[in-house]
Amino acid sequence: MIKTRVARQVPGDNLYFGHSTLTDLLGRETLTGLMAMAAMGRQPSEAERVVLDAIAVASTSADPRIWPLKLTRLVASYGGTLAGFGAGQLAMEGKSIGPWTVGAAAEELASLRDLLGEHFDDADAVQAAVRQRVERRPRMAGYGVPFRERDERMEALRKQVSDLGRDRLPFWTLQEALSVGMKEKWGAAPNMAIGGSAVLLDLGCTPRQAAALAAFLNQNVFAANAFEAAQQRSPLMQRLPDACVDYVGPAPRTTPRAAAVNKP
Amino acid sequence: MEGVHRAGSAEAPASERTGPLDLGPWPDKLTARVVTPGPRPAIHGYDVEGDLARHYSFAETVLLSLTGELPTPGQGRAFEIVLQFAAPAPINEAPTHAAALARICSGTTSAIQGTAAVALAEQARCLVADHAAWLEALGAGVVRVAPEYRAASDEERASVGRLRAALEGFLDVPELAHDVSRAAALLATFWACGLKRARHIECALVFAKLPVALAEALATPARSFRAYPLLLPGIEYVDGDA
Repeated sequence: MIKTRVARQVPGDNLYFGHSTLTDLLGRETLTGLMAMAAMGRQPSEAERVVLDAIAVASTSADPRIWPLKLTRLVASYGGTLAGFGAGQLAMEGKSIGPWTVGAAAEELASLRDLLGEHFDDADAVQAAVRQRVERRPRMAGYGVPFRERDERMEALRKQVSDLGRDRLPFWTLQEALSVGMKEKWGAAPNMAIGGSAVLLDLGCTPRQAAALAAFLNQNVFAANAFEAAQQRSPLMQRLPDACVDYVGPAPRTTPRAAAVNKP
Repeated sequence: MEGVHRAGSAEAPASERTGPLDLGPWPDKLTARVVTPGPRPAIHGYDVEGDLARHYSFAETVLLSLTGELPTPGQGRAFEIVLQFAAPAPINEAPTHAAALARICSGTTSAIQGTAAVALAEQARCLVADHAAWLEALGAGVVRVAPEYRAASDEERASVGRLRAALEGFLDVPELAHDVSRAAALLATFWACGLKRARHIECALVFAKLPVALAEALATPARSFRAYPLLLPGIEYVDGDA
């Protein structure tokens, strides 16, 4: 028997993680909260919902030229909104690009937290652990900003976190210390993934929950591109002119079987 | 270009300001490494319509596409055989089951194919990942069958025996002489056919099963909601927060 905490259809209602959708959630819960429940299994508080919305809004980087969003639009270009939307998700469950990288960044913070143990609140211990962590790690999940000096989304999230009074929570504090260390040692600026991961760990997420929730909160960027591209059905998206392709493979050649047949 | 000149201008609307993506040194063409585009397409340099289609089977063309090398006749025939052994995708396995559900939900043929392809790819990814040490051993040329890659039943041994018999005269796969599982035997045969990379073997597994999974799904009546065993497998709801 497979167990689920997600849902059960009951007479006249649907339960969702233990809550009646029609009497407990309707009129009170938001889409953000429902998405948070999907990954965390519990209903977020009002304050938590606000900071989750901050992550979602700050992460809205929906330029259709960005790789996974271009992918989304290519598939949607034949008119299928959900085909594009679904395809856009497939390459995202990794450590290279997109909101799922929050999980890898969260692993860094969680392992640093484990390393500190009971010295988690000791500033000197934190500094020492950070120094040790960054010593041989020029590349670390959550650090490095392509094409620009700093990640404006991270900067904006930092301000929001501060405004919401969440900047003294343990993982945010640890993230800030690690970010200083990475900047000083390698010149690597923090990106949205490390900020998002700190917020989500402070909500009680595991790294895997953080990855999934960050992805769930970023669905609008795929939805917007999939919908627009499906409406456009652009012939140019469906097929670029052959002149747009540079072939670098082997030169024209003949198979041995064809050569044998054609032998004079 | 106007946006470039306006970069940094406080007066320029946000939509006209030059962003980081506008400034990157991007190539202006896609790079093709396998297929020559145009009216006379070639794969790895071999003319598809005038050469490959006349002298090579589709399976051989698949091997060429993945490896960049023309297979020997024995490898080509062995690849066809192992694809057939790998082809069955029964409805009680997730890929075909999911594809049949897509059909029941009145999904388009595209949606059914997409569902099957994604699930088959996931199934192949897991199978190959579970056999990472086996592939490593194949690469090292050491036939030492770890317990997890041994046949678990006489039925499996019989299946591996049938594969060995079918390959006879075409390709020698020494691993098949050992007490290997059916999955390990299939992977060893793909390897002997020239597929030396895990990702290529994953692709071959999907190619093998996709037509069969689709056939089963398309044979399922659309909108047959009431004929579907909704309670199989049983799913028990556990109340409360996680």
